[in-house]
Amino acid sequence: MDPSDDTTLRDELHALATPAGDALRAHRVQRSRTAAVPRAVQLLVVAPLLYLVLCLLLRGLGVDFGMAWWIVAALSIPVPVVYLGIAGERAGKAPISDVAALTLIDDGLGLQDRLSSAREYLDAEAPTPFMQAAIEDAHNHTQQAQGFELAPESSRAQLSWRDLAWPAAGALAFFLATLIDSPAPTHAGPKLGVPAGDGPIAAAERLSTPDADITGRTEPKVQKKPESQRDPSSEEAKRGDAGVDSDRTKKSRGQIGRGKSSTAQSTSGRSSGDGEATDQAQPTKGGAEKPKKPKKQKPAKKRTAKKANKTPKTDKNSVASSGQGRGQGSSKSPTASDWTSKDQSIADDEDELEDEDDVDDEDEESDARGGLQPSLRQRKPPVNRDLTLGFGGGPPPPHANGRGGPGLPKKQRGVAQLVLGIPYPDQITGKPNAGRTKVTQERIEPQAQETNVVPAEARLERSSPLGHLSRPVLTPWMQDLVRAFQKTAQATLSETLNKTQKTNARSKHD
Amino acid sequence: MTDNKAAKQDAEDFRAAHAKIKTEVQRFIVGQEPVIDAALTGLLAGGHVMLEGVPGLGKTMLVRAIGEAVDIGFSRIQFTPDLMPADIQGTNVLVEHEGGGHEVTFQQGPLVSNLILADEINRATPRTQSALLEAMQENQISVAGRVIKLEEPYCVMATQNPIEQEGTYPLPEAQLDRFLMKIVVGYPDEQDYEAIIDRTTGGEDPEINKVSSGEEIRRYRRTIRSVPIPQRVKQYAIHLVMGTQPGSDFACGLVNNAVALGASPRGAQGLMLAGKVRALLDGRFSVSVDDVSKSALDVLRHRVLISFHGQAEGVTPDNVVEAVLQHIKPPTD
Repeated sequence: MDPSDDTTLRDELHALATPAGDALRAHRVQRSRTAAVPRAVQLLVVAPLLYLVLCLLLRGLGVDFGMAWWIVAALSIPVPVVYLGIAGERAGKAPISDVAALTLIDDGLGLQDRLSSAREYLDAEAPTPFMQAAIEDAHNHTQQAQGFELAPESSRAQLSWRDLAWPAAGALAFFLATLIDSPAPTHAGPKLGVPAGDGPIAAAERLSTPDADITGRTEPKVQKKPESQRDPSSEEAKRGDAGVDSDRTKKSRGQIGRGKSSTAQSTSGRSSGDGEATDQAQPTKGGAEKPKKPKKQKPAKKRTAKKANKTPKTDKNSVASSGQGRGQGSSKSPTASDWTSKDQSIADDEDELEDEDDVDDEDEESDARGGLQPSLRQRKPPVNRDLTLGFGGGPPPPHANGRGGPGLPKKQRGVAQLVLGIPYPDQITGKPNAGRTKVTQERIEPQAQETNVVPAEARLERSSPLGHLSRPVLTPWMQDLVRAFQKTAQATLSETLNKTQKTNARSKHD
Repeated sequence: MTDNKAAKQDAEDFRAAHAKIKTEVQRFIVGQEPVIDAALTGLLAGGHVMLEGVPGLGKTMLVRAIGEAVDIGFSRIQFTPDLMPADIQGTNVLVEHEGGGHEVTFQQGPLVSNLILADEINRATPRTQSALLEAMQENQISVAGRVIKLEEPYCVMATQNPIEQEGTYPLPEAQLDRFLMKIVVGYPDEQDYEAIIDRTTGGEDPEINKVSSGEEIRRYRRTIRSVPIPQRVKQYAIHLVMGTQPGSDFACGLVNNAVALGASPRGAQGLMLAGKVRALLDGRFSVSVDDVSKSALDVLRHRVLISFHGQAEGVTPDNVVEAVLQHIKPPTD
């Protein structure tokens, strides 16, 4: 392929790419603007928001700021429009190469990237034979691309609900700003102490509830003082009032929200009161009118039973405890006295629940044992374990039922029990019950015993002297005896040999 | 000008040879034209091909037909669970001389050939499957203290059955990645059944002529590698490969959710090679975006490993590749 052909093809392709590039640029501008629409919609909130902030600032400074609403509405439109314009302008300024433009033609005409590839290969420093063939192939298809027009692209912006929330927020900001900016009906309102925004209905409500109004008005001023700057006399005066409308005081303080719980407030406020029950102190519901039932005779329930015996006193204490937080000079935090009210208020319910649970458990147990079992819940008072001083023989305690617990003599045993009331272990010597004897046998598994392993070796001839051999020294009489035995044996042997020889000789002669 | 004409001639020869081989194979195989094209693409592009399909669709017959149509060495290995690497690579054996005496000689296995039919490759143990790795990638075998260079063209065409997975050993990812294409063989069309019946139950056995040679195949391989690739197409192929990798910038939601492992750079190489063959067969001298996108399914499906989550949701590698193709648009600039 000649270089002149290359130049011709380059010009042809450039001529094809120029209008395609313009069309592509227009597409890009359109596409970028479409893509920018959601952000532009979000920008609708800018002007109303600024308007709202401005109104709030000027209102705070006391400057009367009156701006016509239509000015703000008119200002809110240009911001997104300018944004769209900038986005489109930026996309339009991006350079478009001939290859990119020819790609559009290839795609539009189904040329399988012939033109764009050829344009790329034209710029190659050393085109290969196949590149040249591709360029020549593209040359044959340029006529086909003449007059190609890129189809206009119709793109529609996709707005989500989140995008639409922004203009809604702008409208809301605009509405609020309009409300703030509108002239107030009476400018003397704030001077009289009526908060801005309070209407006549709220004022009428305050008038109808004077106490609440008083606390509501006066408390904030008092609360703003620090703790150390409080006047004790004024505190005392307030406490006098607090006995009357303690609940309201408590509520109002709770509304102020100084970080203390309402329980703490009421507890400290009760210190000089008459002992009336507050909301936190337990009412006399479960005390004076209805004495507590004695609970189960479990050790854990003793305290509850004791409480039942001393119900009126306990109730009184409960009331007092709820009001004695500071009055008794305790260094504890007021909140520390909370346990009394909690304990008293919850005890009844918890015990009732436990009772029900226990009854259910016993029913289940008796069913599991296969029949009706005697009830273990006798509902009798527990054994009196009062270790008071006394010396035997007296009448049995009125609550004794004979079901365990130390009797009177046992109670009196030991100085410690008598004097100090310390439980003393009862030790009685005796023999154990002669019942069955359990014989246990241990089976001992044989265990390997570690020993030194002697390696086997061949037995060789002795090379060293045997050493000293002990010879038993016989007594003389035994030496004589042995000697006589040996002589007799030898004599007998020789005699036998002689007889044998003689016999043999006779037989030979015969 | 001369170079230009030579390139055109090479491309023309390639198309003619491809057509001849295809015609011969089609005397044996009815229908399945895309499968034949893909198998020939693998052979001509210098890659290895995996054929997957249920029994009876002619996978083995297709490879045999290609082996007969091209005058190159052909060996068939039937993979079984007790097949050992030495059975396919070769081993030292003790040979008795006629005049007496013994000698240890190396007897090469069926892997030393040009076109290898690895039939039911997933029935062999991973040990034996791995014996193919070096041969497929390096075109050589290291066995019994020696290295055997395999002669070009070298092509492994493996078949496997997607069902009856009991007693099979799925190919490891490292080996799957070495296949250029994985072709899914489907059932023939209705009209193809009649021709199949006529050809296979008649009295005549079709004979396949050798219409090409190993030397020609080697030349066509060089021709294919001479086809240029525009920058845009390269970028598109790279984006496609990266689009299969979960967590990449080009991954779509399905890939991030259902893919455990995406395609490797071998995937991009495969896309380019397959695209070049397509471009030449289409009469063009340069690869286009369409060539890449049309090859993507065969080239990428076996390189995508579906995660457990994806398998639970019934996602297949084909779903993933199709989703990637829809997600990745060709670069415009």
